[in-house]
Amino acid sequence: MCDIMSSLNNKIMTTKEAVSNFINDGDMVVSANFLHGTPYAIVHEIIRQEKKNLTAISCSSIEELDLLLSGGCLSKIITSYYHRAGGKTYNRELDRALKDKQVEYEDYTNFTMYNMLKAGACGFTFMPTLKSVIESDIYKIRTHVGENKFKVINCPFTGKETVLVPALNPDVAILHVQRCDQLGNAQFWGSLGTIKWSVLSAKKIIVSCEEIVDHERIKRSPFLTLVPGFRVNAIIEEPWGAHPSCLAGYYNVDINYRSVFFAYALSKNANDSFLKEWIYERTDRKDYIDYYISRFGKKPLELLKVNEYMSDSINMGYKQLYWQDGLCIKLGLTREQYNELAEKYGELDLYNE
Amino acid sequence: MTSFTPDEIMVTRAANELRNGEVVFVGIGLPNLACNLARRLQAPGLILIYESGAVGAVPSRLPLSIGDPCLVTDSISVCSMVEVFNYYLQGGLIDVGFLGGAQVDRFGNINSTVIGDYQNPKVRLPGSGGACEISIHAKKIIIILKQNKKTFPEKIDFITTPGFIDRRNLRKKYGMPGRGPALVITDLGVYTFSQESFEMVLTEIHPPNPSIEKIKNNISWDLKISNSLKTTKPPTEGELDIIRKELDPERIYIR
Repeated sequence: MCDIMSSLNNKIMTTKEAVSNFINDGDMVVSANFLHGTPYAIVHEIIRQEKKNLTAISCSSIEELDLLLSGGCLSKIITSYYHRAGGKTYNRELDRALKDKQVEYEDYTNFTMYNMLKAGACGFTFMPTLKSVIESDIYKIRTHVGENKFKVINCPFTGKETVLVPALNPDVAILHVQRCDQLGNAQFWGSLGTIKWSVLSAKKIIVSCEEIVDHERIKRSPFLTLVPGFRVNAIIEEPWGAHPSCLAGYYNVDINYRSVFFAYALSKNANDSFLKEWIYERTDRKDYIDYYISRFGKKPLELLKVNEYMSDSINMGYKQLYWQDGLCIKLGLTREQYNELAEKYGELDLYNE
Repeated sequence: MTSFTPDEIMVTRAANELRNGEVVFVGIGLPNLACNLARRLQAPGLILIYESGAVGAVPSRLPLSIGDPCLVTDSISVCSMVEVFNYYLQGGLIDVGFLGGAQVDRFGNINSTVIGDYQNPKVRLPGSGGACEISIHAKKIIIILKQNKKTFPEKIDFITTPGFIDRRNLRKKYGMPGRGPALVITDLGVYTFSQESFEMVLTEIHPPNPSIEKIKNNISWDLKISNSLKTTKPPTEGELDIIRKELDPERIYIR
């Protein structure tokens, strides 16, 4: 018998290889994680490889879009929420980029945003959305998506006015998960947000994970699988791959480190030195973590690690069919029950249809 | 009366609005504190839903974002935002939705997108997130924000989230199932909305120094004041204890 592992292409690679192989200048890239497990290792690598003119798709971003902007990687953004730390007076990369017209920004709502991704994932070309968005300036004000941001049609069944959003099919999805097997079957838990639709709408998928685990372990909890391996193009094992964001079962948000970033982000020069120190001068995520330890010691990382709180295990067992000639399926009876009935009412002619 | 901050009375006033058994769409910040305060007091059966997909969340510490894993641990269900919006929100199951923002106008329309011109922003804000559709579908909307002339302008710079839109209440025209904004809670007082003009009406002023003049100085339009204007119930010692010791001991959101 052919072994499943050796029969399929090996898609395990480094982040460097994955970004180089699957992300091209000008691509539309969706950052799939929803405020949880942000794929920072991949984001840093995109910046190191100086990818250009990307369109960033994000339902909710933390600082990853700021970093990509700082790296000069983005020309367009489509999003429904772009986290703003530090309040209204805080100046950061997005403010500078908008002022200098370095990036074109298109606003959607979470609902309309995931509807576009859902349409893309389903292979539809559009999706109806809630009509009342018409009264929002999100509908009225349009930038780079332009006329195609929303369209209105009359429903062919009821004649009612219906608002549509177009499908989004990003070139690449980047995501970070807790674990994958060697085939790329990626398992994810914690806050799910829009991650599934973001991933499945994309043409190519790059997944980094905290650990590559045995295929048998993935199969024991199939309901945790977010994306099946056959849809995945690159599998990367990258411990701490979402730092400084959080990941259920692994680590907390690194608030202190993020504060350092916010402080640096206040001015262009300081921001550039942050990028130099934490991204350009680091070869990969392992180097980044080693550098973090050399700067702050081992303790801060240890403090981020979560407590153990195991989920209840459930019974995934089943039984071989008790009675294999088809009768049990047709009647829902055991052989004994059937025999009893047959004795009382006579044999049923179940074998000759 | 124990001394308290404006943030604290905003949280306790919002918490007092919640009834046991209600299903609430919660956001991070003050709404999160209000819901978790209510859950510890009169509403142990309050169902907290976060956009990230946690249903029946019981966070044992302060969540730092709606994606925070502490919202998922011990919740009654975890699903995607698609399910939370399409089945719970669109399905008409959300009793109360909390919304914040940078600006609100007299008809309860909210701006959380941009201050200044969209193309040349003075301040670029986070954007809608879930707010726009939550406002359309939740049965009752509670808006929480700090009040001054800039946050309560005559005209907001961008309508991210429609409230009643204008005095005609265009919600009906678009078939918005939710009843729209019910309450605005600020650091100075509480407002409801007229069922005739769909305009904000001042109904409560916060202690310890209630002043209509101060309220009027911090709003850009000619404010309607209720005939039965009340002083807001001050936070109890018990409520303050929970906020200060359990909910936000580091005072990350509460000032």
